[in-house]
Formats: sequence, structure tokens, C-alpha cells
Amino acid sequence: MPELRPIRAPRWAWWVTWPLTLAGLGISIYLTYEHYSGNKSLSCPASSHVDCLKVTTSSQSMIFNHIPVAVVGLAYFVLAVFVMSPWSWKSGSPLLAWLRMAFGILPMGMVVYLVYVEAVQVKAICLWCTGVHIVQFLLFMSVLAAYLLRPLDPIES
Amino acid sequence: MGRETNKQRRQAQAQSVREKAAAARAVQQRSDQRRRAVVILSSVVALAVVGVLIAVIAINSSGSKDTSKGTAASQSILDQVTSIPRTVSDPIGAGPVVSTPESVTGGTPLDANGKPTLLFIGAEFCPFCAVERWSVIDALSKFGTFSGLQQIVSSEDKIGTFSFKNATYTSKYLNFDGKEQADQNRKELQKLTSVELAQWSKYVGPGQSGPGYPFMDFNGTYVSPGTMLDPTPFKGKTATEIAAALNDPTTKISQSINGAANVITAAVCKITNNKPASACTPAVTSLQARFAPYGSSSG
Repeated sequence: MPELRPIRAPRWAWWVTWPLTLAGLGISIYLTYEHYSGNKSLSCPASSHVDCLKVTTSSQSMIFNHIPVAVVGLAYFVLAVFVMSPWSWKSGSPLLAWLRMAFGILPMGMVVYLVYVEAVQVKAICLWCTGVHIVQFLLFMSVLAAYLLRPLDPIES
Repeated sequence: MGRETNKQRRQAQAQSVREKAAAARAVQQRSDQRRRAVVILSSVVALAVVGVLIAVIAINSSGSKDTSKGTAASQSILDQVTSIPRTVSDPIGAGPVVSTPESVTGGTPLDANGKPTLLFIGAEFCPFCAVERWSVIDALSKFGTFSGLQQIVSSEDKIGTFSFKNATYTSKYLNFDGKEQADQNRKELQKLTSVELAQWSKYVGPGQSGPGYPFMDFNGTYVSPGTMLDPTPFKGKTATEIAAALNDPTTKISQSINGAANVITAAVCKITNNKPASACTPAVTSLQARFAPYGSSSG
């Protein structure tokens, strides 16, 4: 079995992805709290197209009518905090590197779906959810950039 | 000695050339890597910008098409309003309702498909209708199932509620004909049939000079030509807040919605011959004694 070589990453990636992940975690905790407290203290301006309550209480806010989207987001960010931590980046572990890639890219599918749901089905935008979407997009870009701009192996002369 | 020196010099020169070539290759590789990264990352950003633009256009176009349509009702809110335990609703009785259905003689039966029909005429802007729809949904869920309910906020008093405009109701005991006659801007939304219009115009509530909202006709046998509830406790409340209060009988919201739902259930039981027994419990049917002839009662 071939031995996996450590994957190097630019140092800036450590200090970009972790704060982003912590921000995503914070918003997810807030949205989950609001979900289970009946959105009583959900702070969000309401206009014809911006209405957090419309989005967070829509039938699409539950996956298969049972799993709140907010909880799925929270579970993802709890795991991402470890995967995107500076220690994980520093380890150079190929397994963690692939996991980071998966954590950066795969949730973008969910983001695209949720933006579609907000724009086409619910017809309203939730600012907090949009905050999570932006965080996830920046994470995706950071992970992709870190891979594309990874330090190259020295060329033998 | 001199030949060795020349050989060393040649080796050093070759080494220097190799190092320069390697350095040049490294610079080239680095440059290629950056170029590739810029192309890929800027393509992703461009795709994201296009996606956001499409989303913005989708939201704006849907908004200009029909602003009164609302959004699909939240399943969790529907679950809350259709599953209030009897232990909560029965002790409330009629609650704080300000009027009860009135019996009419010589009314036009609205039967269809061999089943009696409950006609509801409301308006999406109307706060009284906003409140009463909660009770209608609560009551009728004991006889059948709603689908296609839309969640809206009444433009007057900003009360979270539902619209019957695109709703369908399935029951083996009765039909439900829910009409939203006007939209959020008081413009006509759904046309009434001649029979509906005749019934609505015929029975006018106390103090009203003409047909008003909400109006209910229980198959031409009972009518409720005005509001049953005071909307004051509901002003500015979201659907989530209202739903959260339903199971707490100490709240005005729970007393109002459950009280009116019990009264509506009692009137529906009248036209379904008190079927099914699970809906027409003694606690509910005892409220039928409060139904006075049209024009003689005020609650």
C-alpha cells in the first residue's frame, strides 16, 4: 500500500479558516437556539424580501419534516471546528487534508439548495442564514485556494 | 594538478547551470501554479456572482407576480394548531368569543357531493379573519385534512395567519369552501359565486351596514356574519408566537382560538349530525345550546 505523503498548506489558511468556522458555529448555535425557543428572540429586519421568520418557520426548514436545518448546520460546524483548526492544518495529515477538502466543498451543494429554497420556494431571505452561506462560501474558497497554492516540493537540481 | 582544477571548474560550472535551471523551473512552476489558481478561483467567484444574481431576480420576480400569495405554511406550526390536546381545549368551552353562530330558517343548503358545506369568506388584510382562521383550521382538522395552506401576515394589525386561497380540504363528513374575497390591499382576490355572494349579502352582523369579514355559513343552517374574536391580543404576533401559545390555556391567545374552535366545531357537528364522535364530544356539543336564531343574539 503506497504511503500517503504529508500535504503542506500555506500558513495563512490556518488563520483564515478557523475564525470563519467559529463564526459559522456561532450563527448556527443562535439559529438552533431560536428554532427550539420558538423564534421568540430572533433578531432580523423584516421587509417584503427579507424575513428570517418566514424562512426559519417554513416547511423547508425541516429536512424530511423531522430534522431542523439549523441542527444540521450546527452539527457540521461543530465537526468543522476540529477539521479547520490550526492544529489540523499544521499536522499535514493527508486524511485531515482530504477531510478539510470535503468539509469545504460538499456543503456548498447544501448552500446552493438552500439559496434556491429561499429565492424560489419561500420567496424570502433570512439574513442569519445568508451569513452562514457566506461563511461557507469563504471556507470553500479558502480550502480550494490553500490546495491550489500549496507550497511545492523543491525541484532537485 | 592543473587538469584536476579544470575538471573541478567544469563541474562547478555544470552545477551552477543545473541550479540556475532548477531555480528557473521552480519560478516557472510557481508562476504556473498561481496562474492556474487565479483562473480557477475567479471562475468560482464568477459562478457565485451569477448564482446570486439569479436568486435576486427570482425573488424580485416572484414578489412582483403576487405579493398576497404568502409562503407555504410551516409544518411545525400546522402540527401545533391541529394537535391541541382535549385536556387543553375542552375546559375553555366557548372562551372569550364575542358572538356564536346563529340559526337561520329558509337558508340555501350548500351541499355538494352528498356532504354539507362550510363556507368561509375572509380577506387577507383583515385582522378579524386572521384570528378566526386559526380556529377554523383547528376545528376542521377534527373532521378532515387541509393541504396547500399559505402562511401570511394580515396587512392590518400584522397578525400571523394563513390564507385559504390555494388550500384544499379533504373530509368524509363535510366540504370546506374557503374564499379570500380581498387581498392585502383590499382589492378583489377571489370571485364569489352567485350563491356565495347571495348568502354573504343576506346575513349581516350586528352593527354592520353590509356584508363583512369574516363570514361563515354552515350549510345554510347556521351563519356567523361577523367576528367571533377580539383581535387585540394578537396584534403584531407572528404565527410562531401564536402557535407557541396555543397549548397554554392561561393565555388570551389560547382561550380565544380554542374557544372559537370549540364553537365552530359545535356548529359543524350540527351539520354533520354530530359525526364523528371523536370531534363532537359532549363538551363541544353542549355549546350548541348557545346558538340563537339569526338577529337575536350578540354572543
